Amino acid sequence: MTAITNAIGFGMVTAAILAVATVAVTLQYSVTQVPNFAQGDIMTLGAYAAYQTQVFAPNLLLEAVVAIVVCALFSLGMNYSLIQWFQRRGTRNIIILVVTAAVSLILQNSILAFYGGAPVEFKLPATEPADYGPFRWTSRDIWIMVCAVLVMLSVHVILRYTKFGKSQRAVSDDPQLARVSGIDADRVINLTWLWAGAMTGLAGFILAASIGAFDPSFGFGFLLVILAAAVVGGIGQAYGAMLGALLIGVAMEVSAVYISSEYKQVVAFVILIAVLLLRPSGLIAARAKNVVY
Amino acid sequence: MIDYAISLLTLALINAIIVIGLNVRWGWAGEFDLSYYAFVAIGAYTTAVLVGPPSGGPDPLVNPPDGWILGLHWPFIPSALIAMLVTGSLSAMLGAVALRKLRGDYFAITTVAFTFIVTLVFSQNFRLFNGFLGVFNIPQPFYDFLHQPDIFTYNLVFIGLCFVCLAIVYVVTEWLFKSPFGMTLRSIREDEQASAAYGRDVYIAKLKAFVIGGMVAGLGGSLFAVYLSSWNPSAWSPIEGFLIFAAIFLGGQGNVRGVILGVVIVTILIPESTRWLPEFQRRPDLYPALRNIAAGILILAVLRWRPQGIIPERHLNDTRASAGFRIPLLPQTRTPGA
Repeated sequence: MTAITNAIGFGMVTAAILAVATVAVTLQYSVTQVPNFAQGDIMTLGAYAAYQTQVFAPNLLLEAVVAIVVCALFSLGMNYSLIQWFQRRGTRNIIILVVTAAVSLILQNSILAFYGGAPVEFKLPATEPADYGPFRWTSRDIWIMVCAVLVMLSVHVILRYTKFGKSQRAVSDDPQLARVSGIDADRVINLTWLWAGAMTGLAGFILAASIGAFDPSFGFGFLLVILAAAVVGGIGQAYGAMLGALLIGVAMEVSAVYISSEYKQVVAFVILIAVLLLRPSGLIAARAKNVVY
Repeated sequence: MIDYAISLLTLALINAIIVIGLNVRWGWAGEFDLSYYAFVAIGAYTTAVLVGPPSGGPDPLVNPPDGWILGLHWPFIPSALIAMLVTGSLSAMLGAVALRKLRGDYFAITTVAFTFIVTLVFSQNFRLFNGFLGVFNIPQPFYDFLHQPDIFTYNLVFIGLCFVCLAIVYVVTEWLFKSPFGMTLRSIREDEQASAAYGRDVYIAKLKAFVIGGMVAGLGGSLFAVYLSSWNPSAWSPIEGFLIFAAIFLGGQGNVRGVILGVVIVTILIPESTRWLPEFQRRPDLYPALRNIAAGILILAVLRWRPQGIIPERHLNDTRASAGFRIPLLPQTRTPGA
C-alpha cells in the first residue's frame, strides 16, 4: 500500500513539472498554431543554462532566472527569425513542423558539441524525505509543486483577467478577426512565444533540479511525455493540459511499481495513442474549437 | 583506396534504397513520418535474427552461448523477404491506427511515440534481440554459397547485390510514380479535399503508400544489417531518421533521382568530409554533433531558399500553355481539432 501512495506522491511531483511544460506547449500551440518540436530541447537549454550558472555562481534563484531568460529569448528569437518568415510566405503547417524539428536537431547537437554527451551533475542542497499524510515528499518536491501551482495560477489570472490574455484568446480563435478588431496579432504572438519560452525554461530548470543529472538528449525524451499530456488534455486548452499532466504523471509513476520502470514512458505513449484514436479532441471536449481557457 | 571507394559506394546504394522508401511516404503522400527509421531497424533486426547461426557452437563469438537468437541460419533472400513482410504488416497496423483520423501534426506525434516504443522493446528484449548490446556477427549473404571468396571479390559481389536491389526498387517506384496510384497520392498531398471530391479514397491511398514505404525500409534495413554485420539500438534514433529527411529536402521532394543525390550528399559527403580533420581525444561527440548541426542548417537553408530541392519534382501533365503556371500555395486554413 505504501508503495502505491509513494508512487502517487512521486507522480504528483512529475505531474507538477509536466504541467508547467505542457501548459507552455499548449498555450503556444493554440495562439500561434505552430506545433513546436523544439520545446523539449529548449528545456534542455534551460537546464544547461542553469548548470552553467551554477558553475560560476551557485545560487538557486539566479539559476532559475537565467534558465527562464535564456529560454524565453531563444523561443522569441526562433519565432522572429524563422517561424514568422515561413508563415509570411504561406508555408504549410507541416513544413513549419519540419522547421521546428530541424531547430530541435540543431539545438540538441549544439549542446552536445559544447558540453559533450556525458551527463552533467546539477548540485543541490540535500533534502530529507518526510511524511505528509499518506505521501512522502522531500522539501524540494514541495517547492516544485508550489512553483507549479503558482505558475498555473498566474496563467489562469493572465488569461482570464488581463487585456493581454483576452487578446491571446482572440488571436487563438481567429487571427484575422482579431486583427480587424484592432489587436496587434503579431505582437501578441511574439509575446506568447516569449511567455511559453519562459515557462519551458522554468520547466527545464525544475526537471533538472528534480532528477539531478542530465545529458543533451533528456529534453527530447521528455517532449513526448509533454505532447502526451497536451493531447490527453485536449491540445490548445490550458486547463485540460493541467489535467492531462496530472493523469500522465501519476499513471507513469504508478505503472512503474507494477511493470519495469523502463517501460513507464511506454505507458504515456499508449495513453497518447489511445486518446488520439478514441477521443482526439482530448478528454475535456472544448466548448468552442481552439480555446485557450 | 579502391576498398574505401567500394565501401562508400555500397553505403551509398543502401542509403539510396532507404531514402526511396521515405520518399514514397513523405515526398508523394506528404505524411511527416518520424517513425521511418524504426522500420529500417525492424527490417535489420528481423533479418539479423533469421540469418543468425544456431547458438552453443564451438566459437562463442560466432555462436553466442545463451541462445538469444533463433539460430535458424536462413539464407539472405528469404530472410529479407520476411523482413519486408514484417515491416509491411507493421506499417499497415500503424498506418491503420494513425492515418485514419489524424491530421499532419498529430500523425507526426504518433509516429514519434511508435519509434520510442520500438526502441524500448528492442533494447529491453534480451531473448531475441540481445537488448541494448545488439546483435552481432550476422553472417554475410552468399558467403558460403560462393565457397568463401577473398574479401575483395566478396565486396564486389555484395555491391552487385545492393545494386540489383536498388535497381528493382528504382524501377518499381518510377513505375508507381507515373501510375494512376502515384498521381492520386500526389494529388492528395497537394489538396486532400479536392482529391476526395474527385472520388479518391484518401485513407486507402495513404495507407498503401505507408506500407510500400515500410517494405522498402525493411529491404534497406536487411541490407544494412548484413553489410554492417552487427546492429544495436544506439545505431538508430529519430535523429538518424531526420538525416534522411534532410536528404529528401536537399535532393528534391518527390523526385527519385533527386533524393538519391540528396542521400549521397547528406550521408556520404558530409560525414566523409570530417574524416580528414584532426581528432579531439577529449571530445568524441564533437564531429557527429557538428554533422547533425550541418544537416539541420541544411534543411532550414533548403526550405528557405530552394524549397523544391536540387532536382525539382517533374510535373507530368504540364502542357506548353500552362508550363509556367503554378497555383500559389495558399496559407493553410485552420482546421480545428484533429
